[in-house]
Amino acid sequence: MDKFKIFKNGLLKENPIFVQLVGMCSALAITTSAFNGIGMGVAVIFVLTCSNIVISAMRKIIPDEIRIPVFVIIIATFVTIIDMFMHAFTFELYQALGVFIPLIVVNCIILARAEAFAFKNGIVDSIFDGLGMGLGYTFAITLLSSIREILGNGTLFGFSVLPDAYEPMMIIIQPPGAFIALGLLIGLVNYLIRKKEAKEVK
Amino acid sequence: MKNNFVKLGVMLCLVSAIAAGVLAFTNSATKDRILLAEELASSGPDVAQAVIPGAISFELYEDQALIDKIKSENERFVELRVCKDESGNILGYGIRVFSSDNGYGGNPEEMFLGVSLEGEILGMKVVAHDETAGLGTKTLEPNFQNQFIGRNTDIEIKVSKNNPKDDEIQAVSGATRSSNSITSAVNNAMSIFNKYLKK
Repeated sequence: MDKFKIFKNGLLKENPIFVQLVGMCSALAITTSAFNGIGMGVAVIFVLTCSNIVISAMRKIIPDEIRIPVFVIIIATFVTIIDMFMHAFTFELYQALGVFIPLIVVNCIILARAEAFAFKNGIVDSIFDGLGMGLGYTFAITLLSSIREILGNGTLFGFSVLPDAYEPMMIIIQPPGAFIALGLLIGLVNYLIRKKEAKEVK
Repeated sequence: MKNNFVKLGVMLCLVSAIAAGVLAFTNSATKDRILLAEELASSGPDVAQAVIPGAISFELYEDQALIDKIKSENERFVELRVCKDESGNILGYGIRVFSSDNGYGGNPEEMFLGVSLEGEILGMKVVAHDETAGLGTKTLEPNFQNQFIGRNTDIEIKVSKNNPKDDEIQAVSGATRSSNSITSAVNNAMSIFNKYLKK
């Protein structure tokens, strides 16, 4: 398969958040500021790419019957590694993301890609798949958290971007706002994708 | 069939053992950095500055008997630090406490309150919290926290939603729980000062 195609697949056509609708829990919970979005995205890219590599490399020696427990061990190991590194080197981000770092273990994107892609494809393809899906996830939650931060707090990456006269829409930063913003965003993205597809058919 | 079970078991053990080895290695590589990061975040120079402006040193209180006494009588007390300036003059105390009202995240907040020897609040620093970013975290900003500064530990502080009176502070709009939580922590620290440290 064309490597670039695999990579591009995760970005939009099969975007984990907008199209596959996996990994919703973290997408709703931590997207209160753009900085959190990027940080979480980088952590997921790392775990997803590494676990894809290892699982793809071991796909011929892992017996079918125990593949899921083996996947979970591999994924949990990488999550714990990134957890320790973030704790040591990016303490503020670590505190902001809190419990959602360990919870990457159960982020369905990672197990889904292990099962659906890495277990059946070669290492190089799996790397591109991991990077593409990871970037797609990062792009989606960074977009969502930027929108929430701008509307709900009047800032982006902590800098004021709206005039002082703007009264922040508190609800957007609160949990209900996450559902509203994510719902509208998913609708918009799918509308755009379909419009583009319709154009291509013509 | 039996052989298969053994084979699968051995395989799983092997994978787990390798994973454990990798983690042990990572742990030893990051352990010291993590301790340092925790230490800096909870009692580094930035914290000392925020608790009492001008404080250079931020040492644990030496009289262990008093610390044990406070701890046994007040479960929300964490530690007591003495703030000194460059020439070694004692500027005041940094009293580290938990809040008695939980924050919005459902857990108590943990903070230092800086109190001068005469009982005036000089500063504060929240060291652990789980408030909503952009909303509850407004209670960590100077706009809110400066309301406490300059108050005397004798008068318990209350929270008001609007038009605060003399003994009240103005809650952050939309973040009453977080405001209450911080205020309860301040009151805890003040009562510790009044009971054990006031001369």
